[in-house]
Amino acid sequence: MTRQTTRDAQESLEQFIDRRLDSVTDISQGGQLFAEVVKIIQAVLERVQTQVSAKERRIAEELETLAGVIERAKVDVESVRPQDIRAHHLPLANGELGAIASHLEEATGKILDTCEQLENIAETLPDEARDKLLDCVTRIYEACNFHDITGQRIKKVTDTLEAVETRVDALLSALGGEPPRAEPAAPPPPKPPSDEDLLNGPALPGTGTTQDEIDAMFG
Amino acid sequence: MSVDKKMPILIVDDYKTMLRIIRNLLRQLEFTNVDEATDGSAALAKLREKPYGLVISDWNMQPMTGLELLKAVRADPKLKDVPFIMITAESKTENVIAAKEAGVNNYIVKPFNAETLHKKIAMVLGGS
Repeated sequence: MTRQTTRDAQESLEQFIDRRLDSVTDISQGGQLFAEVVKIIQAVLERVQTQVSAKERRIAEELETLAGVIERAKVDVESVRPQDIRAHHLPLANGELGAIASHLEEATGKILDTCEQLENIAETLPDEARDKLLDCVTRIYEACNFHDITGQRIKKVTDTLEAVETRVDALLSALGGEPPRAEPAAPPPPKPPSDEDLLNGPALPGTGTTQDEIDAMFG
Repeated sequence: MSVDKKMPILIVDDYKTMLRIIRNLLRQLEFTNVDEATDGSAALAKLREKPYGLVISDWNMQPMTGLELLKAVRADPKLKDVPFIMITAESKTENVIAAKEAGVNNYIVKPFNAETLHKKIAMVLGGS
């Protein structure tokens, strides 16, 4: 093979690679990214094997290694079950945070109601007692600042979870799967609950048993 | 100079609980003429409806933030001199600088106490 022939062969190989890689941009938007990259690498290998020089053979070996790495990465990612993160864990975390915010709102509202009642009572007391009581009420109002701060912190966590969700969707798409709808993962087969299984923390509003229902169970 | 405790004050915060806390603290400081808005654009509409002696606003609100409200107030020839206090959890130096550059009169970081609120109002309104 002359120097000119070799250069021609390299150029056509580069053009071939460029053309195939250009198509990845379109394909990646619809998923199957990993699979397509592996296909391209295999196609390049076939081309290289027919136009081989020592240098190209080394490139081919490296590409083969790269294809292996991508395949292993895909298996590793799939073993983490990103679908469960998207469909189960993130909605659960969001629900719990929403419930926390709602309980905080409710509790703070009740504290403020009580403070306002105390202020009314204070107006009926002698001056010294009145001032002492109002001072205590002021301290409570000040402490209730926590509601706003906590609410903002919860919002930050919720935003972070949304960012994680977006990245998980991108990962699922790259793996060739469709982002699942936010449905809980299939329940495990029924078995008697262990003590650990019973420790679920407080139920989300509307999902637990009400006190009235519990009272009814006790007749 | 004493502060007119009957002057209208507009408090702006997207957390209704926070509005209630500030209103109650103001009442304890004997400011009883207090109106509320839950975001910057609603506040701006109220400011254009009637004259206020003081605006106390949160920063982090949608669709119009406290900083945007401040800038809109300062850009409006009829409102540009209204005293404006920012009460916010945004406590980075750059936030305070941005608010100062936009023309805020004072800045309170959450969580705050009644004494701080009283002190800042007195500083802004020039009373005790």
